[in-house]
Amino acid sequence: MKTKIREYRTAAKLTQQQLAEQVHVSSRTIISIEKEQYSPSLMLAYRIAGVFGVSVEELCCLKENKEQEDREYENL
Amino acid sequence: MKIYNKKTFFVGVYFIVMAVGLVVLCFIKEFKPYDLILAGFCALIGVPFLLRSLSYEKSRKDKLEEQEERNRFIALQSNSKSHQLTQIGCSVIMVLFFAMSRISGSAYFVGIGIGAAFCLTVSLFAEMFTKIYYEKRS
Repeated sequence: MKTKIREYRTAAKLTQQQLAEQVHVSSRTIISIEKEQYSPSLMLAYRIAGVFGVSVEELCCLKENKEQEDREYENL
Repeated sequence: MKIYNKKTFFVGVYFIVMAVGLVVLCFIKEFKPYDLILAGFCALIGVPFLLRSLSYEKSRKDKLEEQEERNRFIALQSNSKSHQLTQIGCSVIMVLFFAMSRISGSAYFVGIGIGAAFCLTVSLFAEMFTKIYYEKRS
């Protein structure tokens, strides 16, 4: 799933390790999310959104991802 | 002395008991250097596990690592994949050995084929029952 975590993290001048410590996960999890290899749980997305002071919808590009999913669903 | 992680503690105890058992066997029965080396390996594995379970910091770290959502997801995926691979492996072995028994006429191959078929059946039933269980629970 596409997210804006990398953008917000670099804007906040946080390292992956620092962000990981703030949301109680390993830095590998943050790396995987940023690489779009792993989709965070709702609670983790909420925690990360809390760190950057944005909504989960904005952080996880929910509108964009929903449109993408809808397109894939129609193409099934 | 307090045990902070029972799982790690019992793994440690298991390996230490194995090591002690092997050393005792070496002295009671026949002395085999291979058993002594194996006992050394068991102790090398067991002692760190035991020490880790008695340390609050390390146990907390282990539990956090275990509960981490990505690690749980990876464990789930790898378990599922290994289960699938085992089923495929059993199917291939079963077909292969039954075919070999047919060609050679040897009962030995039939035995191995039946063993693989048994493993496959158990695996399929286990999958079916766990599926029913989780269908009802979620």
